[in-house]
Amino acid sequence: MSTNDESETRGLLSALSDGEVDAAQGARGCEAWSEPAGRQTWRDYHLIGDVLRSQELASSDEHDAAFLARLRSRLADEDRVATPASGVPRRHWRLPLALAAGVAALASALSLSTWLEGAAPAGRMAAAPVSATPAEAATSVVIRDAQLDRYLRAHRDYGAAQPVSLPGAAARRVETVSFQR
Amino acid sequence: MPPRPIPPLWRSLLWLWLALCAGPVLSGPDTVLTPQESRRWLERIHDAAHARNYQGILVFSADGALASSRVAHFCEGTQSFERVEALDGEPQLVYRHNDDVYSVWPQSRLAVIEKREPQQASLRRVIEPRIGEHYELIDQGVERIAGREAQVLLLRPRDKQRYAQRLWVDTRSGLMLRADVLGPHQRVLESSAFSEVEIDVQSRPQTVLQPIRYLDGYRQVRPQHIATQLEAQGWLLRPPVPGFSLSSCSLRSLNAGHVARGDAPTLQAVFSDGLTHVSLFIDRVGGTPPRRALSAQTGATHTLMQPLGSEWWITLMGDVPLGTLTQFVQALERRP
Repeated sequence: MSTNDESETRGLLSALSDGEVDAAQGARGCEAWSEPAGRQTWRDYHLIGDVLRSQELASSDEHDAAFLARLRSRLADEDRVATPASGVPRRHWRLPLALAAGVAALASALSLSTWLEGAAPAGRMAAAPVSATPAEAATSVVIRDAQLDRYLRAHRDYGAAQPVSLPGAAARRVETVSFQR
Repeated sequence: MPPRPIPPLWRSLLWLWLALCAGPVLSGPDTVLTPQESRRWLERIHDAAHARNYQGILVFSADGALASSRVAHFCEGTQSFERVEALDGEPQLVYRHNDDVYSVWPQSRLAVIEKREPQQASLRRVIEPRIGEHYELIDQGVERIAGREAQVLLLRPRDKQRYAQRLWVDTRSGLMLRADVLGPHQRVLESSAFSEVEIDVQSRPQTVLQPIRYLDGYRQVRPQHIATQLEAQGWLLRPPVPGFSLSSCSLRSLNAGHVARGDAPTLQAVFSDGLTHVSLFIDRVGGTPPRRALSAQTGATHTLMQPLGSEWWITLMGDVPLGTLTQFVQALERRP
């Protein structure tokens, strides 16, 4: 890379870090960034910017890299919970895990919905298993459940004839998932 | 020696200081309203919601998920017209003309047509006096929301059976601009708010009537709700849960999308405290697909699903603390 190219790349990365580039320049900037030298320049410019804003933000690359590595390894150790499948944020249900705190592997959300199974004795229902569940459980697992959504829709039907601008009225009903077809 | 009189300058400063200290207390942001004042506010909210013409974007958020809809409401005499269009996910529109509610999914060419119970319609234009028995209204000052000045009102429950709600009410029209349901420690469980709103727009009922008139090519489903009584179905709540009274009871199918399959009907009883409501669903074992007992929460809505004996499944759902649902479960009795 000639000195001329180098200074041009630097100018480009500087403009990119300030958010002052058009699409074509942005693409070239990203290309330059994929080179190790470009990344170093990129980091340098950000460090300069950070130091100008606050002395506390000035830290070495190694510090950031170590932090990232630690974060990645921690994330890898985290239990995986089920997440909604679709890209559109939709209603999901949280099942409290207070009673299932001892459950080691959270491999499948489905198996977790069974945590209360067998808790209710025959005849008149005992309150014990339910009242032992704190309403605000610290941990919970997220599921999508078509059956629960059907009940939710029926529950919210009640406000359907109310104008939208009333507590608990029609607008809440619309975001509920549609019928299962 | 007699005490020296306070110099006039100091005296005026002292008064100023006293006034500054007392100000927030006297005109304080948290003033409990009298029953008459509360009633006036709630009536104003209801009147504006029913009688004004308004349109805007309403954003609903719960558990970190957002859903927005474009809404329009028109009122002409005793007629009301409403259009709610979901802006996220599969296209869905809800049109309402008085008590007729049309839910339309254009992509699936499905229209579900329901007539609301006249029982509910009779509550129109009246604020339920029961609200005052279970909540007190607190004036929390004035804030700006959706570009408008709003009065903040907190509906604080008088017992632990229900959640608090915070309402932002347009000071000029009385229209509710935002409502938050608050859990323990004032944590927001869910929120619905206008991100933009136009009030007193021109009424355009055709935007509601036109689409519901032309539903050719749509599969039109009219779910049946058969009105009944809990006792007639062999059920009893003893003792009743404080503050919740039975406001409707019917047999219905929850699978309106495919009624033809002939699912066994579900018994739904709705209990209301004037602001929020709890649904009790009772299904016969075998009438529904196999299921598991569970307790779940979404936004402010709690659910309890449990078997009762070997014959019944009970599902309780409501925007209330889980303990309230437990009370319903404990009070439910099967009469032979």
